[in-house]
Amino acid sequence: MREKTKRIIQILYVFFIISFSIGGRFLPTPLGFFTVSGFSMYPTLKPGDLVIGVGTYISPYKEGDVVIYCRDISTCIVHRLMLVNNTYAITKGDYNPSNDPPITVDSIRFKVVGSVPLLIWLPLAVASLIFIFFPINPGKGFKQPFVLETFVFLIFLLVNLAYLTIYVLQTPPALTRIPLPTVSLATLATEKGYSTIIIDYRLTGLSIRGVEECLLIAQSLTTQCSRYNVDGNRILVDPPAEFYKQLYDNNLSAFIVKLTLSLDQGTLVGKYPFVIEWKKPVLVIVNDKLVLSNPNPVPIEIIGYRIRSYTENPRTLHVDEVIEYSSSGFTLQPFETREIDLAWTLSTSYVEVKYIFMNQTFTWVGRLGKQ
Amino acid sequence: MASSKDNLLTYQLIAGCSAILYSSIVLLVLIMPLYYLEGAVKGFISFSFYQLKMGDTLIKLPELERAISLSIPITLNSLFLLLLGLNSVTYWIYRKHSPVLARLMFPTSMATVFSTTFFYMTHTVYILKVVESLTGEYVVTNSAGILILGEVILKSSPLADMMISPTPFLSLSILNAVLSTMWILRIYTKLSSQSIRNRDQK
Repeated sequence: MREKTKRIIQILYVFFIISFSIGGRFLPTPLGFFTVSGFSMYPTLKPGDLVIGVGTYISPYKEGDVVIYCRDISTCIVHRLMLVNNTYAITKGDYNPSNDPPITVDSIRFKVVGSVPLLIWLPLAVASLIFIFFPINPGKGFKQPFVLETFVFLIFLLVNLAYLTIYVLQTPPALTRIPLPTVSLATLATEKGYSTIIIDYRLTGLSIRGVEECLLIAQSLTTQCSRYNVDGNRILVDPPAEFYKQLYDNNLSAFIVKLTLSLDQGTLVGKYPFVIEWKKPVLVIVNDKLVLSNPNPVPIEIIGYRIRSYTENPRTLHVDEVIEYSSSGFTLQPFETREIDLAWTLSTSYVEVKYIFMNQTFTWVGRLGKQ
Repeated sequence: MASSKDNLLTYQLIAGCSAILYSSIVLLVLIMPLYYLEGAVKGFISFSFYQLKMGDTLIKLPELERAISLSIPITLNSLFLLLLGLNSVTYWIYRKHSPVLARLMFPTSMATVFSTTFFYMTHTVYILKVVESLTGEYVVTNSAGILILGEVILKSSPLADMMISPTPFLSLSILNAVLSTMWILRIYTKLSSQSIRNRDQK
């Protein structure tokens, strides 16, 4: 009788394993057992973990659930459901960077309700197999030759295998990459009309010690920076006035600041582009004054200006009195604003200013009318 | 002619000394630095711990952490073996023979053969791979320009050169296992001959 019961248990055990593990792949079994074989669902599921699925006809699934679908008998996939509608579903492995190709909803066979780690289910399975198929007598104990020895040996072997399983088989391969300190460019700016160039950095795990080299480069022109200083994470560079003059004379507007910085760890070599926008001098007549402004970091040559002033008889529309005045040129210094008094002029005046800008001569004419 | 007890005591001493020698060597190898790094990354790497610094920042590498975790089984194995070896020698000093020590030392010594294999796997698969990938020029290009952090030079200790070949350590572990096997077999032979003699007397 006891032998018969043992035989029934053995048959049921085999039937249980076959029907729910292999059978679940092609039969509509209520339960399905699957083992994970990759890192696609890491860290939710690790290779070797036993996944327990409940048939989708018993437990309905929704977006966010982990489901099992089978492409064929040999290929079943355990992934998370990202999107589902009446016809198709999209799944994704938690460790995968992108979604899987769409699948039909009919191919989803199980909804995952739980998992058992390899280190738990494998020893349990082995122990149950031994218990069912090869029962041992615990009464004999460690006094029997080689029982204690086998026990101790198995403990050490299991410790080795457990570590091997956890740290080698169940951990995804990682690239050995040292977390390097980083430096990136935060902003490039100019201040005080290009007289100061600001290069701002974003530093992580680094700090700037000093500037080893600072060059200003525009086509074939190369000039040393006249002055620079380090202000925390930013470098302030003052280009010499001659450099801008050279750019202006050569009709150049783009230049590069080449910096070699000494950091507490290593060196940074950077080239930073700047564009200078050359602007014509601003000439306006305001409050009986001719105002000339130079918005550039270089001097502008004013060749000269001429004023023709007259009074007009409103009845006859004849010019009664005319005054003409000419002045020689001058240099409008960088960012200089100069005012020329026009209070002495008659009721109507025309002002003509000639200047050189970017190697070309321009004439500006303005009118001043007095009430 | 040496008595049976003297014979067993000699086995106990030899197996005990072998266990002490082997486990001490393994424990020393575990703590001694295998590789030194100089340059942009400074520090050392041993089997059971490592210290790598870039500037003042300590670097943690997952692969090395994993390698250190893999050295735990052999550490446990060697510590247990050392304890058994020390006990065996102490018992020998007091002229006492302990069959329980022999029964524990035999499986522990056999397990060290496996542990040593895992130990080598840790070295070749993880530590050596990580160390080789650490060397070279550290140059990073980004929006700020070219960041030249410098070169990392690897210097291996004489111990690491010795570790390249698994023969010495595996041979030692096998020798240790053979000696403890001889001891346990000697005990069981004696026990079986005693039981035969007892049966004959009855």
